[in-house]
Amino acid sequence: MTENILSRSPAYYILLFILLSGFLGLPGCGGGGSSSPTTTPTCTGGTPSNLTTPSQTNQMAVYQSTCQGSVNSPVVTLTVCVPQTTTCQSIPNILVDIGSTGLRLSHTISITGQLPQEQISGQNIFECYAFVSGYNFGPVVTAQITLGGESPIIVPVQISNSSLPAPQSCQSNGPSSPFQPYFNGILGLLFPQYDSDSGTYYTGSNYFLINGTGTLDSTQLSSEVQNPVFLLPSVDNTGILLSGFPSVPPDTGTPNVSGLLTFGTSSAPLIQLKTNASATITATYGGSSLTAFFDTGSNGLFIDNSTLTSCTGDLSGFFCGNAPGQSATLTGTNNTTATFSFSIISAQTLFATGNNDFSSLGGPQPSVFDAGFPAFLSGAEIGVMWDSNTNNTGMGYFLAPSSF
Amino acid sequence: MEGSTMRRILKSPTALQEACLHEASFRDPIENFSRTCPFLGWHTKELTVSFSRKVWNLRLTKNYPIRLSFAILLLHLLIPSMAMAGLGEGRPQIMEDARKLGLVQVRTGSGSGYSTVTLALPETNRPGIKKTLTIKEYLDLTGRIFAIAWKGSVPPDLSVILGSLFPRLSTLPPTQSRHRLFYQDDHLVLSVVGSGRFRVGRAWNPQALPTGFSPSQIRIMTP
Repeated sequence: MTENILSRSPAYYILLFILLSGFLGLPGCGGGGSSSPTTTPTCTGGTPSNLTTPSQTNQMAVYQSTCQGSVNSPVVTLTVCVPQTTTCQSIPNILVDIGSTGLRLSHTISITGQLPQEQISGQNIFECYAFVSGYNFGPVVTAQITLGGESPIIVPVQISNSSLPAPQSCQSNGPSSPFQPYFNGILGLLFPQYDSDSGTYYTGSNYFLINGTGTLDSTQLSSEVQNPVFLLPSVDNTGILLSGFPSVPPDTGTPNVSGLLTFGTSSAPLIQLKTNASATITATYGGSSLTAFFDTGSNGLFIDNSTLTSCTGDLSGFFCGNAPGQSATLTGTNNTTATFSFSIISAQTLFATGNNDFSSLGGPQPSVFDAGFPAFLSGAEIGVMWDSNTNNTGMGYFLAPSSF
Repeated sequence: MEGSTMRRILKSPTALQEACLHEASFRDPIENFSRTCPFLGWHTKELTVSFSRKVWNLRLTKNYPIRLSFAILLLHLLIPSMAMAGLGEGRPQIMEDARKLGLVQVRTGSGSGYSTVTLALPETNRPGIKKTLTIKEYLDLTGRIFAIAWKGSVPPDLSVILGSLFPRLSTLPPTQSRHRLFYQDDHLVLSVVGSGRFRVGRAWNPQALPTGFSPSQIRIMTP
């Protein structure tokens, strides 16, 4: 008994019309998309004056974010230009993030409105990128950027525009997670994208999923929001190093830090911890074997420790207990190991200092060892390396000293 | 509609619409058609939906966007209760979650006052890429899901696994921690950590934990 619901009598449509009048929000006939005007505060901080000075052309200064309320946030200032023009803007407070891939800028940055949108078959391209904290949706544009003393390169950039209504398939990733007021953008330096695995791409004003799946095909990859370092000329396109940050006292933290971001890894005297395709290694900590990764975009050490007291209230999600003298063994899939020594100090104690950079800030998360930015405040040089020759970017390496 | 089969019978003019409808029909036709293909109502084609011998038929025909709305509305009227799956729902919804997320059941377990069902993404044959997702759902003795833990390279659709609690996340203010999601209220605690290619998370209803059950028991260990 097949019931073809659209071959009903006119009485049905009359009934439906009455019912439909109460269904104005129904997808397919709802419209307008009038997003409520927001007055979200934006980051007003600029580039600090006393930064670590790069000694090589393949380096640039990294500093603690000057956006209000940011802690443990390493950022850079990037010069972004409209391609083929002299229209440029120097944008401070762009997060150096080895936990995501691609350059993304907030739509609140004025030059983003002048950057030409990427197109496929004459249709504008949009991307939805899901950070753990939530999604960012907006147009894919091209920009000319300058990384340190490198020659300028033209790269695809996602503009995160929280005032655009995102497609439903994007919203299922969680809450909208705009960059402001904590960042003006994010420079994602995890391994190169290998099949647009992380982002979902759309075309046209109705946001069709590109190729039906939201994944770019091999002929469209030049529009992919790629790791900009991967797009540098050889040999500086093989990875990155973060160095020069001080060893921050665990008990108090420090007001601010500055260090260097280096493009290319050929001279690194570091241990190579090979990752799997999920860009993770293994940590042995507290007698457990945990999935582990380095991540400058995590502001704490989020680790499996159920014995430490957790904070409540505003500091929920951080540890409020103390655990000095901790140690974890990090092991790559190539069986090389590095020993990471650290302390956990109560977030309440740390934040009360008024400082912005802490090597001992942490929080509980079962099954995992997230070596966030505190791991980079131990005085060690740490990096990410990938294979730039074969486009075999399914995996790569974390670089670290054998003991730090 | 438990166990019903969904089949796509359509010849749409473009691959995009084809794929969209395929995805919608593969999932829950009401819940997901509007979510997956919100633009179709505006765009070009009319959707015809019918249900026969446990088979959904979705068909696109001619220009007339409003009819799409009629079709969806009719579906809502004809099938009054398509329950939202996820946290807080009962045992029958687990396989519904699994189907929506493309997972298969890999094991079951139990502890004092609860049982668990573990779902995982089947092995794929995509060259060089191994996509992983494992979800462990915790049920109390009445069969209600009170906690979920997950881990893998593919983020789960939070709107599925959190079910009716998902909209609560929209109240979260912007966060400076891009690789962390933490939410807490009287009925939902959610904590996710990860990077672009990996995440581990857990969610539970603090009001619904079995006696003696600690949230630290909500975990998926490294396989």
